[in-house]
Amino acid sequence: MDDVVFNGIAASLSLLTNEQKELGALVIDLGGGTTEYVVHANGIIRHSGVLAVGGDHVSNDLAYGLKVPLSRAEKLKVEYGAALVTDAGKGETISLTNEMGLEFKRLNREHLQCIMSLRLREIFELIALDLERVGLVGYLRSGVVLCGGGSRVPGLVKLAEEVFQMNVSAGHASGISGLTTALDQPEFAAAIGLVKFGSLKTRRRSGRSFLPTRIKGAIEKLLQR
Amino acid sequence: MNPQADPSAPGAASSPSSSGPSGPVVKIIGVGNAGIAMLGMLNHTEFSSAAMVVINTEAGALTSSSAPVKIHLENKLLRGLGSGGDPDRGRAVAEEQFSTLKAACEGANIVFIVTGLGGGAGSGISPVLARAAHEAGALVLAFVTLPFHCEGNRRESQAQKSLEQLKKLADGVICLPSQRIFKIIEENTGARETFRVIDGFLVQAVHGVWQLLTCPGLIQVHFGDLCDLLRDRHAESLFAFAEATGPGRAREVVETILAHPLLDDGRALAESTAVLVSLVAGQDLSMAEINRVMEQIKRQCGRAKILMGAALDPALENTLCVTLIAARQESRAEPAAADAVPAASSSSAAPAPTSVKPRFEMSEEIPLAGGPREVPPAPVSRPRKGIPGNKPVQTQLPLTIVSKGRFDKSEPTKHNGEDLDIPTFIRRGIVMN
Repeated sequence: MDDVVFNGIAASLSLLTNEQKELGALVIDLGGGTTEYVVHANGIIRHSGVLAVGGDHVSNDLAYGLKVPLSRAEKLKVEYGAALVTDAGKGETISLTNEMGLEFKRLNREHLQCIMSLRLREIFELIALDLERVGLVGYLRSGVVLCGGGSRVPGLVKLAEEVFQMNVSAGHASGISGLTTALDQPEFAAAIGLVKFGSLKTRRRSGRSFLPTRIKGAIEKLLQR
Repeated sequence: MNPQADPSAPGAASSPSSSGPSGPVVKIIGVGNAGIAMLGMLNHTEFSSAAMVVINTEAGALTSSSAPVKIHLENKLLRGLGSGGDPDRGRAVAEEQFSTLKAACEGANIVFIVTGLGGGAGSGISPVLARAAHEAGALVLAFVTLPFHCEGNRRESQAQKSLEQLKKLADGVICLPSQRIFKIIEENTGARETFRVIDGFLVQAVHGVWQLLTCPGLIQVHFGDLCDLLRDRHAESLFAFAEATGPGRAREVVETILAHPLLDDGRALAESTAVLVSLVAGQDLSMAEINRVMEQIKRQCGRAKILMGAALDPALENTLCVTLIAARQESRAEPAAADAVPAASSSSAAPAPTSVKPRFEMSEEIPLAGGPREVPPAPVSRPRKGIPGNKPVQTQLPLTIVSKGRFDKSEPTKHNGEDLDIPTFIRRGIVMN
């Protein structure tokens, strides 16, 4: 291992253009276990944070609220989930079938969406509160960029717009060659960012004098003994 | 700058207008363009004993209103252009003319504020007006609409902010989100017509409360009871109005009101925590009819607290009107707390809205003619089938330990003292049924 970098920073590396960083942007990476966020403003990283709440919590809420096993809740989240209670979801029931194809339970889709919506809204509200506390809301002229697996939830952009009251977009990883459709997934944003970070590191290292790395290596060797 | 009070009009500021022998003096104040439009829809003959006042920052809408007292709020900042959709400007000008507003409320026992929130005048002036009315010694009940979603985030947040302020300052707020109207109207209804429908609903609510407070009560509801009912619950209220004539009117009126589109096939009733039912009929109202109507409504209302009033209006021959106001508790307070305090408060008449008086009276103890009557929540154990939204509601004990599922064994995620591992909807007390 060469270096450690914060996940959120890696994600913002792959998603934001230099203009966006200059204007000010908030990147939210909605992962499974955690939600990371980074604020760029005036070209530098101004603030970052982690919430230990993520997609797993959404699934857990569903499992608890709808009284279904976790694995089933996970599936329901992917299949029927939404970040806002949609009109289509109101009054619609979802019937669950067992392995024989027989129906054994019916769920109200509105409840499912309501549970998800409340949790996701809370995550955004906590982030918004934190940004307000540090006084960075006014700096986000280029808005909010979402990434991570959680950002696949339909309607999440709209929910985030409601909470943050500014432009929100789903992030697209840019500046990397290869099959774009395969790589342009919100989950990969952080990973692509890591690659970018690594390449930046090596470029910087090769440009600089060898002295610092040499000293570092010497110390490491000493310590390993 | 100054109140353009028409000197010839009755009920000019500070002189109590004529009212029934014992009825309270009511002033109905429309604020902003929406308020003026709604006041215009009120049937003036019926509200003859109420003083109508309109307040706006734009002169144009004021001149078109037929209300006897018109107050034009204006200062140099507005330059005669109105508040421009900015509630801060509306608030500033209202604060500046606070004494004018207070004078307009002088002499009234009850002030109804009728307005549409979201714009500059309605959202800005209404909270200040509520405070002014309070200082003038009146009880305040606000009837407001919330903007459509399509009107944009800004108006929505302005409306929400103003609603929060109103809730604190007014004794009761009855609020109708305009968005709900889409369920009722046909797709190609004209925009103007749509607004008329919304205003009409609010006017019906004003009318219902008005009847409740002014008609000679068979089973009277006092304003204080109404405010008690609405307090902390007026995040979103729904109202329905129905009337029927003829021999089968009791059955008919219940059917109409339960099929009311705003009530979501009765689902809204099952979810609400407080329901006010007001019956008004001609002299021929029979106890059996009251009983029949209440029985049906009670069955729909799961665990809601029900307050009912019955009044006689000689003008209504052979007709039975039912107004239903359902309020839902959205605050985080535990939903059972309001109902669970078993305090035997006297049914004394003096309405004291500023002090929360929990009332939970056994209905047998109340004499028929006097005092408010509260129907205890219908027993929830009886399973009923066939009617949607009529599922038995599972009551919750206060000390349930919420399982955290997969996070049970991991370290709790605390944020400002809240355990984020517990599902949000449980922490916020939102009931799924």
